[in-house]
Amino acid sequence: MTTLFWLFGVLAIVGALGVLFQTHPVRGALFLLLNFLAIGVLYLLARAPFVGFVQILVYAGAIVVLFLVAIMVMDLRRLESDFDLGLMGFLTFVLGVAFFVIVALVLLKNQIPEVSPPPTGTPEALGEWLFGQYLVPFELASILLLVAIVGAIVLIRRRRQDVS
Amino acid sequence: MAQPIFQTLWKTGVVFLGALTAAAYLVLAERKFAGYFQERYGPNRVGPFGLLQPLADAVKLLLKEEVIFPQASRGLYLAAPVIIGVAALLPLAVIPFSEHFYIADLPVAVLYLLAVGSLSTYGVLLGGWSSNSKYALLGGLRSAAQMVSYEIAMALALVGVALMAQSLSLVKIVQAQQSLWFLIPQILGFVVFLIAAFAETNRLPFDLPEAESELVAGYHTEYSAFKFAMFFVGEYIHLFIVGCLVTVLYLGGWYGPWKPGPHWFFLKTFLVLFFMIWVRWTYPRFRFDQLMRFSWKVLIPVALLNLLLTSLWMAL
Repeated sequence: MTTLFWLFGVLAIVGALGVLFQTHPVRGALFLLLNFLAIGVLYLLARAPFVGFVQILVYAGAIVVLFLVAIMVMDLRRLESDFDLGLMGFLTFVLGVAFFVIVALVLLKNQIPEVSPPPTGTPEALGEWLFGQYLVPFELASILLLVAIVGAIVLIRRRRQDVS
Repeated sequence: MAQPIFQTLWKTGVVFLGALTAAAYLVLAERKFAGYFQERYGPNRVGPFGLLQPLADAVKLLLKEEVIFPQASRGLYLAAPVIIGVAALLPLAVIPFSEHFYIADLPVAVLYLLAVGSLSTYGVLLGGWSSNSKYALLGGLRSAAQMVSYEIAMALALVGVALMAQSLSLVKIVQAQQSLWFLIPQILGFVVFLIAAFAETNRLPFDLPEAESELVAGYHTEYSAFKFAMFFVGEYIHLFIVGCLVTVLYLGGWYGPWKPGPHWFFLKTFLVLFFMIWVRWTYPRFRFDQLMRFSWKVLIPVALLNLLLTSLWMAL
C-alpha cells in the first residue's frame, strides 16, 4: 500500500513537472494525463473508488482528450519560449509562491491524519452526502456549470452572427 | 470478494487467452458471415472450413516487415498500439462470465468500465497524430470526436441499468435480472446502448474513423505488421467485450431456462455479435455530420428520457 502510494505520488509529481517544463504541447498534455491518472490511483489507494474512477473518467478520459483535439486541430507545433506575460506573469509568480508557502505551512503545522477505512468512498455514502447534508452547495455548483455552458453557447452564436 | 491471489492469477490467464482466441475467431466469423451475406464462401482454404485461418493470419502479420516511418514521432507512434491493446483488455477484469467465474466483482464496476473504456481514445488519437500523415490525423480526430460523443449516450444508458439494479456491480446487475431481463423494462436504454456500441467499436454504419474511400485506413494508415495487428486485435477484443456487456447488462448474463451457467452467457454473447456482424455487412456508412447530429440530437435525448422514466418508475 505504502509502496504504491509513493510510486503513484512520484508519478503524479513527475506529470505535474512535465506539464510545466515540456514545451511541446502534445507531450505537455500527455504529462497532464499522467498526472490525472496517478491522482486517480491515489484516490483508489485512499479507498475512495467512486472518486478515483470519476477522476479517471472525467479528467483523463474527457478533458485531456479535448485538450489534445484542440492542440491537433489548431496545429500548435511548439509554444513560444519567450512568451511575455507581463504583469500577469509577475502576479502568477507571486500567487504561486504564496500558495506554495501556505500549503507548506499548513502541512508542517498539522499532523496529516492517517488514511482510515471509513465507508465514505462508496457511491451510496457519497450520494447520501451530496443529496442530503450538502444539497445546496451541490445544486449551486450545477447551476454554475449550467451558466458556463449557456455562456459558451451565447459566445459562439454571437461570433457566428458576426461572420454572417 | 477476497479470493486467494493464485486464483485471481489463473482466472486472469484463462480470460486473457480466451479473449485473444475469441478475437481471432471473431475475425474468422466476420469473414465467413460476410461471405454468406454476399453469397460467397468466405475463407475455406486453411484447415477444415477455414478454421485454421486465424493462425495463418497471425503468422503472416508476425512475419511482415516492421516499418517505422522516419516522419513519425517514434515514442508515441510505438506507444499507440500498446495503449489500444491494453485499453481493450482492461474491461475483461470485471465481466462476470458465470455466477462464480469473474476476475473481480468491483462495487463500482460500471464506472470502471466507463473509465477504462475512455482510455482507448488515446490510442486512436495518438496513433493518428504521431504518424504525421494527413489521413491518419483526420481519422484520429474524427474518431476522438465520435468516441467522446457516443460515450455520453452509452454512459446515460448505463445509469438506467444501474438504477434498476440499484447497484454498480456487474454481478449484482445480473442477479437483479433473475426473473426479468432488463431488455424489457430498459428497452429504450438497450437500443441506445447498442447503437452507441456500434460507434464505440468503430463499426459500420459508424466506421468513419477508417472510412477507406476517403481516408485510406484512418488512424492506422501508417501502421504495419505487428503494430497493425495490435490495432486489429484490439478492435475485435473490444467487439467481444461489447457482446459480453450487452449480455450482462440487458440479457440476463448467465441466467436462462433449465440450468443457468456460462453456456447461456456465451450463447447470448454470440447472438449479439452475430447481430453486429450482420448489421455491418448490411448498412452503408453515415456521413460525418449526420453521425454527430444523430448522437447529440437523437441518442442523448432518448437516453435522458429513458433515465427520467426509469427514475419515475423506481420512485413509485
